[in-house]
Amino acid sequence: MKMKKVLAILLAGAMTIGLMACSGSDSKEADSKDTSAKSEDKLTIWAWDESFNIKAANEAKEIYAAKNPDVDVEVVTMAQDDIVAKLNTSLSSGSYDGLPDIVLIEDYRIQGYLNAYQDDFSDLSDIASAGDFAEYKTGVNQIDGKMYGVPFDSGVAAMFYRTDLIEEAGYTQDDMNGLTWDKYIEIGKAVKEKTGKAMLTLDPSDLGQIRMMLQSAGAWYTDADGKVDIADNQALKDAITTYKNLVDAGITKTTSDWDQFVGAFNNGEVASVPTGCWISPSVMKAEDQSGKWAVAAFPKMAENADSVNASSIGGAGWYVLKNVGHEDTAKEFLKETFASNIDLMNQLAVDINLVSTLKASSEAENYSKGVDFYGGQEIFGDFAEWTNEVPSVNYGEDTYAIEDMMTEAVQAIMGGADMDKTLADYQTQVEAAVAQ
Amino acid sequence: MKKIHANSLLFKVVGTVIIGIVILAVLLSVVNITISKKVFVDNFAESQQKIFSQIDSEFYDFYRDMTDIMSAISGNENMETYLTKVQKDETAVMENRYLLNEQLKNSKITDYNEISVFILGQDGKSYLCSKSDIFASEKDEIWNSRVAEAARANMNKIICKYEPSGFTNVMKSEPVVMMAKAWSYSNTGYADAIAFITIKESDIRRMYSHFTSRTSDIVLLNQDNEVISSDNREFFESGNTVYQELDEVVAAMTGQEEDRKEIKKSGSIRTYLMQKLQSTNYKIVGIINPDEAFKEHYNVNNLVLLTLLISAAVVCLLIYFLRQQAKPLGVLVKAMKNSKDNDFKGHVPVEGTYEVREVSETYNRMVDELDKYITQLIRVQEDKRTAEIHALQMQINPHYMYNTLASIKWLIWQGDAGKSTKVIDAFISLLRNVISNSDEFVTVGQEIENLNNYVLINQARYGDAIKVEFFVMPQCNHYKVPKLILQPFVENAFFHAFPEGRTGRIQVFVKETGGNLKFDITDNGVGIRTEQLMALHKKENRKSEHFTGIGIGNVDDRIKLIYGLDYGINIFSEEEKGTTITLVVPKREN
Repeated sequence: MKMKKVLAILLAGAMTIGLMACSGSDSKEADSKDTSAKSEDKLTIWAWDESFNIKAANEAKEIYAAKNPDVDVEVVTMAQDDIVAKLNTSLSSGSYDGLPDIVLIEDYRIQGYLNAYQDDFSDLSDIASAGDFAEYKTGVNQIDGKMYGVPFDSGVAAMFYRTDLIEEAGYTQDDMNGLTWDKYIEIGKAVKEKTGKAMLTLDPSDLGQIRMMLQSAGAWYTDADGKVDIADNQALKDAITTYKNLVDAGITKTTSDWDQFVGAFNNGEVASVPTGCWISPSVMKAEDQSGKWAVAAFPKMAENADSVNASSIGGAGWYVLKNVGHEDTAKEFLKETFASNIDLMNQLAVDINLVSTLKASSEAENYSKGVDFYGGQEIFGDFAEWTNEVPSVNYGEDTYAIEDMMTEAVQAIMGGADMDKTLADYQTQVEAAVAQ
Repeated sequence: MKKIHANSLLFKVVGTVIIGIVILAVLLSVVNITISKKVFVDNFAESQQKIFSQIDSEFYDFYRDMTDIMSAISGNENMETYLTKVQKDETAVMENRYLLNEQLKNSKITDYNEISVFILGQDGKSYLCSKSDIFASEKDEIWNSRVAEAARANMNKIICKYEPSGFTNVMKSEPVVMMAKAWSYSNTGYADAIAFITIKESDIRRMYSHFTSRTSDIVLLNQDNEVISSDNREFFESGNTVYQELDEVVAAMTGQEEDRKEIKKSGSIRTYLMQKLQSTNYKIVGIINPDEAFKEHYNVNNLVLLTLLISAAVVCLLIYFLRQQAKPLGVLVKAMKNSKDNDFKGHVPVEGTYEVREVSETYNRMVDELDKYITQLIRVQEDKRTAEIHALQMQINPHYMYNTLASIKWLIWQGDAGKSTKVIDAFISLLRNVISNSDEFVTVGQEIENLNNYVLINQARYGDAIKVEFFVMPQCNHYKVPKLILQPFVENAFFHAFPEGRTGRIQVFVKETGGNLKFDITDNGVGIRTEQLMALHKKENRKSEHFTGIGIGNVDDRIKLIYGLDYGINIFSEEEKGTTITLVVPKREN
């Protein structure tokens, strides 16, 4: 009798435990799901150029992984427009799902973001100090004296040119030094005549050339205070005139996308590429042209007294999005790589011809080496020299918005419209657009 | 604990119950699972159809925009100029490119960040709408790709293909879905331009991925019923069985214009739902896999465990109750087993269930009946014996009567009238007491009187050589004793203790000892060995000298029959000295 009672109690107990065990295992599963969904040590980095900044990010990842094997870093290639669009939508809606921890942002755009979404960006003052970087770079990523970005590449402008074609046209490399645009057009005409090749490519939808000319004269679409400055901007008028001269001289080749642009010089269709130093890896892709290239300083506008043989285009910096979830790890990553690592810069100089804006990198070994592709020219020394001469300008917040409208204006002027009148019109239009 | 007999009721009941529970559990589970599976699939299919409508409208919006983009490209004059004309004037070229760019920028292309649009023309001419992107494949390769072939085969139509990687840098690292349209500017019938819209397959998947679960897969099919997007990668591997099944089912469903089909294969059922996406030749297929869903909800192990636990609980309760019920039965069985040793007298306690109580009562009644019957049987036997003895004592030996009458005649002939009268009186008295008095018991006084008469008659016949003396304690006279209880011994002493005319004396003593009466019949004759005496008189002989049919052998039986085994006769004999027979009976006054 007693035996049976004991048995019954045991049985009831077993059932209860069984039920508890069932519910217990459920909750455990749920727990583990939660933790796996939010891994602490996963960083995502967005950049856009597979042959340039993506490579840089991947090498930084390797260096960091060697010391921090627990951190999983994912580098994602996105179209730059895509990055811009996603940042705009996500930040304006305050939803951080799917955003990266670290993102590369062009210097022209960053002020717009920092002014609008200052709270979404992490203050990097404790891992990067302005004094360590080229002066013209740090202006754009500071707000209220705080560093919000780690400057990456120099956008210093340069004139990449085909020595063989120039010589074929009857000029020497010396003629390319301290160029004015007038001289450049002259040489271009000779090249076109002798070789049948265009001197440079132009994309009617991209006013990069005009921007570089502007900055060489210390000017921009906006004045020092960030106000729209178009109608009475002498440098702008000079730049548009020069641009028109280039077209009228018949030495340009029109391209309409990046692929055509790169294709043009890789296929030997143009004799020179006046653009940012970051184009170097793309130029070097045409291995058959090794030794036929050289780099000269960017031309100045002779008619403009402020214009110098130095300018800048593009260039970007790394930024940490504070609210995505791994702020500390992301800052740690940048601190150990782009904010301080000379070895990384040294390596990147070879791999992607990075012209670092980290001052200390000029001491790195590879920065004083000649590059065979450019006939042994010590291009990094030259880039560094020109970098120091780049006039500093305030890009304002709306460079691309303004330029979007300016392409129209420039096109109108190319078509024969009166420049002063057109610019006056667009001053009003742009002011109205920017005010929105 | 007692071991359970394989044949016991308990074992059989428990076995039956366990088998019953297991069968019930299995049947219920199967029926339940089957029904709920059906309900689940139906409900799921219904909700899936709603989801389809939602995806359909979402996809339709997307597809309409893609169609607009394609039209914007193929109908663009600047595009035609760019692709087909050679312009000498660079200013005109710039204007053309600028306008083209502006027009495309104002098309829907800019509404979609996730698409990549490019156009291929003759002579390696290309136009990438994503400014910063760059081709990752050679243009010849793209022109001759599967997608381009399909587009050329369906001129002016938008075709769609899945590719494991795209043709530009941004798209090359991931599977993509490409839409392409080929057209001809020259009206030669040969395509001289193809526009491609590339979108990452993951972005297509995002349109429906929040509707998918482990229970269901969603597959998008293009115009040729090829998979262009699915949340399940297995559908992209053409060698896969899943893929082949999909292929067959879709072909069958398209042929029969069905929108729902169930496929049973290797024990599992999959339900296919198919819907054509509006305004396209694309289809969306949902594959519901209820087994997958039920694996979670119906854990077989849990079911088995639960069944076992319930069975165990029920069996324990069953054992408890059954044992409670069966215990009186067990007691009954035990009592019945022992009843033989108890002379069928032991009653069993009446308890337990109705049936057991009834059986117990019946058993008890039966035992009582049996007992009663046996008692009755014994009494009948006793009565029969008594009647027999009675008959024997009633039966006066006729020879005795002849001889006695002959002796009286002899006395009369001698002229001894006084003696004759005395003997006749004694004989009359003796006959009256023995024959006429039908009582079995007589007083000690009467018995002694009968003995006296008998002795008187004997002495008249055989002379006075044997003297008989009675010593009766007077207070014993009124006790009753069985009739003729002493006569056989006196008779025996008369005829056997004194052979060949020897003289002697027979003495009868009656006294009370405690609650008993003690009779001693003593003679001083030749004596006899006890066993000889008993053996000699066991058989009834009918010699002339015997008074009745009762021999001394009967006396002991009679006493024991009447008074029990504690009473009886005791014979003590010594050769040449005499014999003493002692009778002990209880004092009875009636």
